[in-house]
Amino acid sequence: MAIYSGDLPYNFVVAPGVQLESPSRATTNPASSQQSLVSRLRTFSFPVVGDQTSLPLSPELEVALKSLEDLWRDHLEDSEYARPVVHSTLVNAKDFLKIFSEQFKHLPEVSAFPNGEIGFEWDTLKGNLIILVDQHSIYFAYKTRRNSRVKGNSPWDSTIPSEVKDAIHFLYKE
Amino acid sequence: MSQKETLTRYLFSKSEFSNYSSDNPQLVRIKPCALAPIINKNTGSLETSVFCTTEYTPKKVIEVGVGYVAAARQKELIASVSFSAELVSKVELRVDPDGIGHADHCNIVDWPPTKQDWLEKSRDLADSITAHESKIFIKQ
Repeated sequence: MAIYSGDLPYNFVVAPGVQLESPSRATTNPASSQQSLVSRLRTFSFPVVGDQTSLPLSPELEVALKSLEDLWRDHLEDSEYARPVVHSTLVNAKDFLKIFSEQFKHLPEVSAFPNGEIGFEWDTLKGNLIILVDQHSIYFAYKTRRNSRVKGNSPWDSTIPSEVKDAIHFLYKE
Repeated sequence: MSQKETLTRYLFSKSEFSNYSSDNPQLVRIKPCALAPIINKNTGSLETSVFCTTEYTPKKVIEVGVGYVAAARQKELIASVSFSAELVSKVELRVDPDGIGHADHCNIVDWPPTKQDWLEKSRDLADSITAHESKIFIKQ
């Protein structure tokens, strides 16, 4: 990355060389940003939880679901630059996250896409998996560092596609 | 457009970039959502809005982002990422300098129509931008 050493207006700085969050803040208030939240969640193992059981949600999953709600509220813009994340997409994304956390301990980073989809992403030294959730379906694209690729889509029926499960197993294989 | 031109994408959400890894937290990674296309309501085509900033100073990159793009969108500019137009053609996309709204405005076009295909391509472009000589400015 090229480094620019001059002054930038409006309080902008050059990255890299910039931590998005100071280490002390990240340590004392890990839920203060989505980034630190997801990093923290990756270190936890989740118990089996979900709406279909009477068990309470784990605190980590509750925080993750709250972060999805916050993401939704931050992406209600409807313009030529961005479409809003509609509520049914949020519902599907939360459903996906709950079901996923019943089966896997590695929660993803979350993001909003310009057409109103919610994205989930896992990025490790072995490869990258990204999933889009919209009102009806999920779409996935997976690649390993050796550029082996799998992609596809499936109507969202509360079932994690086998390709996604295989990808997660590979990404986090010991 | 020449492969040597510089393009800048303006970012309005912190979820569009992340630390590259916990082992090296200072390197910023551009995420696929930062480059993903939006459907143009008028034409139905998929496009990603960028600016040709080859002749810009870093100060002007920020000034156009804040004074024009963020003002038009009525949102706070969070970051900008500048990269070579060559990276766009390497993932088999094309830059269309339409000049609509601003003389230096362009769109990245020729996105494949299905979601899993443009999702994959936006990740390839984001990874390429992260890996190459790109300038990222972030609001503190």
